Amino acid sequence: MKKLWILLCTVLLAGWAMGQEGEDVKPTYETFKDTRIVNSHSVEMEHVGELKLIIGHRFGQINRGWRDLFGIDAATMRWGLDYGITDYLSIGFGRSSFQKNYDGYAKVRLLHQSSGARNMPLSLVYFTDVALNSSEWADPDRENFFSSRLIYSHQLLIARKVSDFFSVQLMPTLVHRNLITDSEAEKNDVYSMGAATRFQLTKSVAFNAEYFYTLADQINTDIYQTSILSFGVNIETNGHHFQLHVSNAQGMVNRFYVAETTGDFFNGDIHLGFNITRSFQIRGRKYK
Amino acid sequence: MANRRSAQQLMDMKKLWFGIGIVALGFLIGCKYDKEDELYPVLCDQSDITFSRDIEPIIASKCAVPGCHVTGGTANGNFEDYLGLNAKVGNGSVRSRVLESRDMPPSGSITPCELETIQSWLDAGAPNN
Repeated sequence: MKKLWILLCTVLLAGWAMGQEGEDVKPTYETFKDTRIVNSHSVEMEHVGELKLIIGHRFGQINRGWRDLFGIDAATMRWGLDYGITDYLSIGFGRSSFQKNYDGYAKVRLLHQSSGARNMPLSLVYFTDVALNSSEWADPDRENFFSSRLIYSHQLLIARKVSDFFSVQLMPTLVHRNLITDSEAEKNDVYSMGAATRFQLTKSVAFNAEYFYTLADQINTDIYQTSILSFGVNIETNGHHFQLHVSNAQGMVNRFYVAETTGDFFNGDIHLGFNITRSFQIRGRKYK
Repeated sequence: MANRRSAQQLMDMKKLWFGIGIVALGFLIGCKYDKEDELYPVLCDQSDITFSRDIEPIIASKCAVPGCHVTGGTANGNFEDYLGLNAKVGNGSVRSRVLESRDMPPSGSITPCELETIQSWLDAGAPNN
Protein backbone atom coordinates (compact mmCIF):
# COMPACT_ATOMS: atom_id res chain seq x y z
CA MET A 1 0.00 0.00 0.00
CA LYS A 2 2.83 2.36 0.91
CA LYS A 3 4.47 1.60 -2.42
CA LEU A 4 1.25 2.40 -4.27
CA TRP A 5 1.05 5.77 -2.52
CA ILE A 6 4.64 6.55 -3.50
CA LEU A 7 3.86 5.52 -7.07
CA LEU A 8 0.70 7.64 -7.17
CA CYS A 9 2.58 10.68 -5.86
CA THR A 10 5.32 10.07 -8.48
CA VAL A 11 2.75 9.98 -11.28
CA LEU A 12 0.98 13.11 -10.08
CA LEU A 13 4.19 15.07 -9.57
CA ALA A 14 5.55 13.98 -12.96
CA GLY A 15 2.33 14.95 -14.71
CA TRP A 16 2.29 18.29 -12.93
CA ALA A 17 5.94 18.95 -13.77
CA MET A 18 5.25 18.25 -17.46
CA GLY A 19 2.55 20.82 -17.63
CA GLN A 20 4.65 23.48 -15.97
CA GLU A 21 7.17 24.38 -18.63
CA GLY A 22 5.57 27.04 -20.77
CA GLU A 23 7.34 29.64 -22.87
CA ASP A 24 7.74 32.06 -19.97
CA VAL A 25 9.41 29.55 -17.72
CA LYS A 26 13.21 29.46 -17.78
CA PRO A 27 14.38 25.99 -16.75
CA THR A 28 17.81 25.68 -15.15
CA TYR A 29 20.24 23.56 -17.15
CA GLU A 30 23.54 21.89 -16.30
CA THR A 31 23.09 21.64 -12.55
CA PHE A 32 25.73 18.96 -13.01
CA LYS A 33 27.76 18.49 -16.16
CA ASP A 34 26.84 14.85 -16.68
CA THR A 35 24.23 12.32 -15.63
CA ARG A 36 26.81 10.79 -13.25
CA ILE A 37 28.61 12.65 -10.46
CA VAL A 38 31.13 9.96 -9.51
CA ASN A 39 29.23 6.75 -8.84
CA SER A 40 25.79 8.19 -8.25
CA HIS A 41 23.40 9.73 -10.73
CA SER A 42 22.85 13.47 -10.89
CA VAL A 43 19.55 15.22 -11.62
CA GLU A 44 20.64 15.58 -15.25
CA MET A 45 18.59 13.51 -17.69
CA GLU A 46 19.25 12.23 -21.19
CA HIS A 47 17.51 14.38 -23.79
CA VAL A 48 14.70 12.80 -25.75
CA GLY A 49 16.16 10.38 -28.31
CA GLU A 50 19.68 10.60 -26.87
CA LEU A 51 21.58 7.34 -26.48
CA LYS A 52 24.61 7.46 -24.25
CA LEU A 53 27.36 4.88 -24.04
CA ILE A 54 29.18 4.83 -20.70
CA ILE A 55 32.36 2.90 -20.03
CA GLY A 56 33.51 2.94 -16.42
CA HIS A 57 36.64 1.42 -14.91
CA ARG A 58 37.55 1.06 -11.25
CA PHE A 59 40.97 -0.19 -10.32
CA GLY A 60 42.08 -1.99 -7.18
CA GLN A 61 43.16 -0.26 -3.99
CA ILE A 62 46.17 2.01 -4.51
CA ASN A 63 47.69 0.89 -1.20
CA ARG A 64 48.37 -2.56 -2.69
CA GLY A 65 51.73 -1.22 -3.73
CA TRP A 66 53.93 -1.26 -6.79
CA ARG A 67 53.72 -5.01 -7.41
CA ASP A 68 50.04 -4.59 -8.33
CA LEU A 69 50.88 -1.22 -9.92
CA PHE A 70 48.90 0.52 -7.20
CA GLY A 71 45.73 -1.38 -7.99
CA ILE A 72 45.86 -1.17 -11.79
CA ASP A 73 46.16 -4.98 -11.99
CA ALA A 74 42.79 -5.47 -10.25
CA ALA A 75 40.49 -3.56 -12.57
CA THR A 76 36.75 -4.00 -12.81
CA MET A 77 34.61 -2.36 -15.46
CA ARG A 78 31.03 -1.50 -16.28
CA TRP A 79 29.63 -0.66 -19.67
CA GLY A 80 26.18 0.76 -20.03
CA LEU A 81 23.68 2.36 -22.37
CA ASP A 82 21.34 5.15 -21.25
CA TYR A 83 18.44 6.42 -23.33
CA GLY A 84 16.09 9.39 -23.04
CA ILE A 85 12.51 8.34 -23.80
CA THR A 86 11.37 11.88 -23.03
CA ASP A 87 13.15 14.80 -21.42
CA TYR A 88 11.44 13.62 -18.22
CA LEU A 89 12.20 9.93 -18.38
CA SER A 90 15.45 8.06 -18.94
CA ILE A 91 16.14 4.38 -18.82
CA GLY A 92 19.42 2.51 -18.82
CA PHE A 93 21.09 -0.86 -18.81
CA GLY A 94 24.57 -1.94 -17.83
CA ARG A 95 26.82 -4.81 -17.03
CA SER A 96 29.61 -4.88 -14.44
CA SER A 97 32.41 -7.42 -14.49
CA PHE A 98 32.35 -7.54 -10.66
CA GLN A 99 29.97 -10.33 -9.62
CA LYS A 100 28.92 -10.45 -13.30
CA ASN A 101 26.26 -7.95 -12.37
CA TYR A 102 23.55 -6.71 -14.76
CA ASP A 103 21.60 -3.58 -13.89
CA GLY A 104 18.68 -1.67 -15.32
CA TYR A 105 17.31 1.66 -14.20
CA ALA A 106 14.55 4.20 -14.72
CA LYS A 107 14.82 7.86 -13.81
CA VAL A 108 11.88 10.27 -13.75
CA ARG A 109 12.14 14.03 -13.41
CA LEU A 110 9.49 15.26 -10.99
CA LEU A 111 10.47 18.91 -10.56
CA HIS A 112 12.76 21.10 -12.64
CA GLN A 113 14.50 24.10 -11.09
CA SER A 114 13.32 27.17 -12.96
CA SER A 115 12.81 30.91 -12.85
CA GLY A 116 10.53 33.30 -14.71
CA ALA A 117 6.79 32.58 -14.71
CA ARG A 118 7.36 29.63 -12.40
CA ASN A 119 9.96 29.98 -9.70
CA MET A 120 11.06 26.49 -8.63
CA PRO A 121 14.07 26.48 -6.30
CA LEU A 122 14.94 22.77 -6.69
CA SER A 123 15.14 19.94 -9.15
CA LEU A 124 13.73 16.62 -7.98
CA VAL A 125 14.33 13.29 -9.74
CA TYR A 126 13.22 9.81 -8.73
CA PHE A 127 15.68 7.04 -9.56
CA THR A 128 15.14 3.30 -9.26
CA ASP A 129 17.25 0.37 -10.39
CA VAL A 130 17.42 -3.38 -10.16
CA ALA A 131 20.70 -5.29 -10.06
CA LEU A 132 21.10 -8.95 -10.94
CA ASN A 133 24.07 -10.99 -9.74
CA SER A 134 24.59 -13.55 -12.50
CA SER A 135 27.60 -15.32 -11.01
CA GLU A 136 27.51 -19.02 -10.22
CA TRP A 137 25.70 -20.03 -7.04
CA ALA A 138 28.06 -20.17 -4.09
CA ASP A 139 26.59 -23.57 -3.24
CA PRO A 140 24.87 -25.11 -6.28
CA ASP A 141 23.77 -28.17 -4.29
CA ARG A 142 21.28 -26.34 -2.09
CA GLU A 143 17.91 -25.00 -3.26
CA ASN A 144 18.66 -21.59 -4.75
CA PHE A 145 16.07 -18.99 -5.75
CA PHE A 146 16.24 -16.53 -8.65
CA SER A 147 14.97 -13.78 -6.33
CA SER A 148 18.20 -14.14 -4.31
CA ARG A 149 20.07 -12.68 -7.27
CA LEU A 150 18.09 -9.42 -7.24
CA ILE A 151 18.81 -6.19 -5.38
CA TYR A 152 16.69 -3.07 -5.81
CA SER A 153 17.32 0.54 -5.00
CA HIS A 154 15.15 3.64 -4.82
CA GLN A 155 16.58 7.12 -4.61
CA LEU A 156 15.43 10.72 -4.62
CA LEU A 157 17.83 13.20 -6.17
CA ILE A 158 17.19 16.70 -4.80
CA ALA A 159 19.45 19.35 -6.32
CA ARG A 160 19.90 23.06 -6.65
CA LYS A 161 22.18 24.92 -9.02
CA VAL A 162 23.21 27.76 -6.76
CA SER A 163 25.28 29.50 -9.42
CA ASP A 164 27.07 28.67 -12.66
CA PHE A 165 30.01 27.61 -10.50
CA PHE A 166 28.34 25.71 -7.69
CA SER A 167 25.61 23.05 -7.31
CA VAL A 168 24.55 20.77 -4.47
CA GLN A 169 22.53 17.55 -4.38
CA LEU A 170 21.02 15.40 -1.63
CA MET A 171 20.28 11.70 -2.23
CA PRO A 172 18.16 9.80 0.31
CA THR A 173 18.57 6.18 -0.76
CA LEU A 174 17.04 2.79 -0.03
CA VAL A 175 18.78 -0.41 -1.14
CA HIS A 176 16.81 -3.63 -0.74
CA ARG A 177 18.63 -6.96 -0.79
CA ASN A 178 16.35 -9.96 -1.28
CA LEU A 179 18.90 -12.21 0.41
CA ILE A 180 21.35 -11.28 3.15
CA THR A 181 24.03 -13.42 4.72
CA ASP A 182 23.90 -12.75 8.43
CA SER A 183 20.51 -11.96 9.97
CA GLU A 184 22.08 -10.64 13.18
CA ALA A 185 24.62 -8.31 11.59
CA GLU A 186 22.67 -6.80 8.70
CA LYS A 187 19.22 -5.99 7.34
CA ASN A 188 17.57 -6.52 3.97
CA ASP A 189 16.73 -2.81 3.72
CA VAL A 190 19.64 -0.39 3.84
CA TYR A 191 18.90 3.31 4.28
CA SER A 192 21.57 5.78 3.31
CA MET A 193 21.89 9.53 2.83
CA GLY A 194 24.09 10.91 0.11
CA ALA A 195 25.29 14.42 -0.67
CA ALA A 196 27.19 15.72 -3.66
CA THR A 197 28.52 18.96 -5.00
CA ARG A 198 30.02 20.49 -8.14
CA PHE A 199 32.52 23.32 -8.33
CA GLN A 200 33.09 24.62 -11.84
CA LEU A 201 36.79 25.31 -12.23
CA THR A 202 36.94 26.36 -15.88
CA LYS A 203 34.43 26.34 -18.72
CA SER A 204 35.04 22.64 -19.39
CA VAL A 205 36.44 21.32 -16.10
CA ALA A 206 34.43 20.75 -12.92
CA PHE A 207 35.37 19.30 -9.56
CA ASN A 208 32.81 16.88 -8.10
CA ALA A 209 32.57 15.37 -4.63
CA GLU A 210 30.17 12.77 -3.31
CA TYR A 211 29.56 11.28 0.13
CA PHE A 212 27.18 8.60 1.40
CA TYR A 213 26.54 7.66 4.99
CA THR A 214 24.82 4.36 5.69
CA LEU A 215 23.36 3.57 9.10
CA ALA A 216 25.66 1.14 10.90
CA ASP A 217 23.04 -1.35 12.09
CA GLN A 218 21.96 -2.17 8.52
CA ILE A 219 25.19 -3.54 7.08
CA ASN A 220 27.82 -5.90 8.47
CA THR A 221 30.35 -3.34 9.69
CA ASP A 222 32.96 -6.06 10.27
CA ILE A 223 33.23 -6.13 6.49
CA TYR A 224 31.55 -3.08 4.98
CA GLN A 225 32.03 0.66 5.46
CA THR A 226 29.34 3.13 6.49
CA SER A 227 31.11 6.10 4.84
CA ILE A 228 31.67 6.24 1.11
CA LEU A 229 33.69 9.22 -0.06
CA SER A 230 34.55 10.10 -3.64
CA PHE A 231 36.22 13.00 -5.43
CA GLY A 232 36.35 13.52 -9.15
CA VAL A 233 37.11 15.80 -12.04
CA ASN A 234 34.67 16.13 -14.94
CA ILE A 235 36.23 17.15 -18.24
CA GLU A 236 33.80 18.07 -20.98
CA THR A 237 34.58 17.95 -24.67
CA ASN A 238 32.29 18.06 -27.66
CA GLY A 239 30.10 14.95 -27.30
CA HIS A 240 32.30 13.31 -24.65
CA HIS A 241 32.65 13.48 -20.90
CA PHE A 242 35.72 12.20 -19.12
CA GLN A 243 35.45 11.72 -15.39
CA LEU A 244 38.52 10.83 -13.37
CA HIS A 245 38.06 10.06 -9.70
CA VAL A 246 39.19 8.49 -6.47
CA SER A 247 36.83 6.65 -4.13
CA ASN A 248 36.82 4.00 -1.44
CA ALA A 249 34.02 2.28 -3.39
CA GLN A 250 34.81 0.00 -6.29
CA GLY A 251 31.28 -0.75 -7.50
CA MET A 252 29.44 1.49 -9.95
CA VAL A 253 25.80 0.70 -9.15
CA ASN A 254 23.87 1.60 -6.01
CA ARG A 255 23.94 -1.87 -4.48
CA PHE A 256 27.75 -1.97 -4.55
CA TYR A 257 28.76 1.47 -3.41
CA VAL A 258 26.00 2.10 -0.86
CA ALA A 259 25.86 -1.31 0.80
CA GLU A 260 29.01 -3.22 -0.15
CA THR A 261 31.98 -0.88 0.09
CA THR A 262 34.84 -2.65 1.86
CA GLY A 263 37.65 -0.08 1.79
CA ASP A 264 38.28 2.70 4.30
CA PHE A 265 39.16 5.94 2.48
CA PHE A 266 41.34 7.24 5.33
CA ASN A 267 43.18 3.93 5.56
CA GLY A 268 44.34 4.38 1.97
CA ASP A 269 41.89 1.85 0.51
CA ILE A 270 41.30 4.15 -2.44
CA HIS A 271 40.35 3.13 -5.95
CA LEU A 272 41.31 5.14 -8.99
CA GLY A 273 38.63 5.15 -11.65
CA PHE A 274 37.24 6.83 -14.71
CA ASN A 275 34.05 7.13 -16.71
CA ILE A 276 33.98 7.94 -20.40
CA THR A 277 30.69 8.79 -22.04
CA ARG A 278 29.74 9.32 -25.67
CA SER A 279 26.31 10.57 -26.69
CA PHE A 280 24.51 9.77 -29.92
CA GLN A 281 21.34 11.55 -31.01
CA ILE A 282 19.36 8.75 -32.61
CA ARG A 283 15.93 10.39 -32.65
CA GLY A 284 14.46 13.88 -32.44
CA ARG A 285 16.28 17.17 -32.60
CA LYS A 286 19.97 17.49 -32.08
CA TYR A 287 21.14 18.94 -28.78
CA LYS A 288 24.52 20.44 -28.35
CA MET B 1 0.70 26.25 -33.03
CA ALA B 2 -1.22 25.72 -29.83
CA ASN B 3 -2.80 22.55 -31.26
CA ARG B 4 0.54 21.23 -32.38
CA ARG B 5 2.02 21.84 -28.95
CA SER B 6 -0.83 20.10 -27.19
CA ALA B 7 -0.52 17.11 -29.57
CA GLN B 8 3.17 16.97 -28.77
CA GLN B 9 2.39 17.16 -25.07
CA LEU B 10 -0.12 14.33 -25.48
CA MET B 11 2.53 12.22 -27.16
CA ASP B 12 4.99 13.05 -24.38
CA MET B 13 2.35 12.10 -21.84
CA LYS B 14 1.94 8.67 -23.49
CA LYS B 15 5.67 8.11 -23.34
CA LEU B 16 5.74 9.27 -19.76
CA TRP B 17 3.03 6.80 -18.83
CA PHE B 18 5.00 4.06 -20.58
CA GLY B 19 7.97 4.97 -18.41
CA ILE B 20 5.87 5.17 -15.29
CA GLY B 21 4.62 1.66 -16.16
CA ILE B 22 8.22 0.41 -16.19
CA VAL B 23 8.87 2.03 -12.83
CA ALA B 24 5.60 0.57 -11.49
CA LEU B 25 6.71 -2.87 -12.63
CA GLY B 26 9.83 -2.47 -10.53
CA PHE B 27 7.70 -1.50 -7.55
CA LEU B 28 5.27 -4.34 -7.96
CA ILE B 29 7.86 -7.10 -8.30
CA GLY B 30 7.74 -8.64 -4.86
CA CYS B 31 10.58 -7.92 -2.51
CA LYS B 32 11.81 -10.81 -0.40
CA TYR B 33 13.31 -10.68 3.05
CA ASP B 34 15.39 -13.88 2.98
CA LYS B 35 18.24 -14.53 5.38
CA GLU B 36 20.89 -17.02 4.33
CA ASP B 37 21.59 -18.27 7.87
CA GLU B 38 17.87 -18.98 8.37
CA LEU B 39 17.17 -20.26 4.86
CA TYR B 40 20.15 -22.61 4.79
CA PRO B 41 21.00 -23.47 8.39
CA VAL B 42 24.29 -25.36 8.24
CA LEU B 43 26.75 -26.33 10.90
CA CYS B 44 29.99 -24.65 9.93
CA ASP B 45 32.50 -26.90 11.65
CA GLN B 46 35.67 -24.96 12.39
CA SER B 47 37.47 -27.63 14.39
CA ASP B 48 40.63 -29.34 13.11
CA ILE B 49 40.75 -27.54 9.79
CA THR B 50 43.27 -29.06 7.42
CA PHE B 51 44.57 -27.86 4.08
CA SER B 52 43.89 -31.10 2.22
CA ARG B 53 40.37 -31.72 3.54
CA ASP B 54 38.95 -28.20 3.96
CA ILE B 55 40.97 -25.59 2.07
CA GLU B 56 42.06 -27.39 -1.10
CA PRO B 57 38.49 -28.15 -2.28
CA ILE B 58 37.51 -24.47 -1.84
CA ILE B 59 40.58 -23.29 -3.74
CA ALA B 60 40.04 -25.89 -6.47
CA SER B 61 36.41 -24.91 -7.06
CA LYS B 62 36.64 -21.12 -6.57
CA CYS B 63 40.19 -20.02 -7.45
CA ALA B 64 42.17 -22.65 -9.38
CA VAL B 65 39.58 -22.78 -12.13
CA PRO B 66 40.36 -22.72 -15.87
CA GLY B 67 41.67 -19.34 -16.97
CA CYS B 68 42.34 -18.06 -13.44
CA HIS B 69 44.86 -19.23 -10.81
CA VAL B 70 46.15 -22.17 -12.86
CA THR B 71 49.02 -22.79 -15.26
CA GLY B 72 48.37 -20.58 -18.26
CA GLY B 73 45.68 -18.63 -16.41
CA THR B 74 45.50 -14.85 -16.47
CA ALA B 75 45.36 -14.40 -12.69
CA ASN B 76 48.40 -13.49 -10.64
CA GLY B 77 49.63 -16.69 -8.91
CA ASN B 78 49.16 -20.40 -9.46
CA PHE B 79 47.02 -22.06 -6.78
CA GLU B 80 47.17 -25.61 -8.07
CA ASP B 81 49.34 -26.63 -5.15
CA TYR B 82 50.11 -25.50 -1.62
CA LEU B 83 53.38 -23.75 -2.54
CA GLY B 84 51.73 -21.47 -5.07
CA LEU B 85 48.95 -20.56 -2.69
CA ASN B 86 51.31 -20.10 0.23
CA ALA B 87 53.26 -17.45 -1.70
CA LYS B 88 50.10 -15.31 -1.76
CA VAL B 89 49.30 -16.14 1.85
CA GLY B 90 52.78 -14.94 2.79
CA ASN B 91 52.43 -11.53 1.13
CA GLY B 92 48.98 -11.00 2.63
CA SER B 93 47.09 -11.10 -0.68
CA VAL B 94 44.76 -13.96 0.25
CA ARG B 95 43.60 -12.31 3.46
CA SER B 96 43.38 -8.87 1.88
CA ARG B 97 41.53 -9.84 -1.31
CA VAL B 98 39.31 -12.69 -0.06
CA LEU B 99 38.47 -11.66 3.50
CA GLU B 100 38.88 -7.87 3.59
CA SER B 101 38.21 -6.20 0.24
CA ARG B 102 36.13 -9.19 -0.89
CA ASP B 103 36.92 -8.72 -4.55
CA MET B 104 38.17 -12.31 -4.86
CA PRO B 105 36.82 -14.52 -6.24
CA PRO B 106 35.52 -11.86 -8.65
CA SER B 107 32.27 -13.75 -9.15
CA GLY B 108 31.60 -13.30 -5.41
CA SER B 109 30.35 -16.86 -5.25
CA ILE B 110 31.83 -18.02 -1.97
CA THR B 111 29.74 -19.06 1.02
CA PRO B 112 30.03 -17.49 4.49
CA CYS B 113 31.13 -20.88 5.86
CA GLU B 114 33.92 -21.11 3.25
CA LEU B 115 35.10 -17.63 4.22
CA GLU B 116 35.09 -18.60 7.89
CA THR B 117 37.07 -21.74 7.07
CA ILE B 118 39.71 -19.77 5.16
CA GLN B 119 39.95 -17.26 8.02
CA SER B 120 40.44 -20.04 10.59
CA TRP B 121 43.13 -21.65 8.45
CA LEU B 122 44.98 -18.34 7.97
CA ASP B 123 44.69 -17.56 11.69
CA ALA B 124 46.25 -20.97 12.42
CA GLY B 125 49.27 -20.02 10.28
CA ALA B 126 48.10 -21.59 7.00
CA PRO B 127 49.61 -25.04 7.68
CA ASN B 128 50.17 -27.63 4.92
CA ASN B 129 48.43 -30.50 6.69
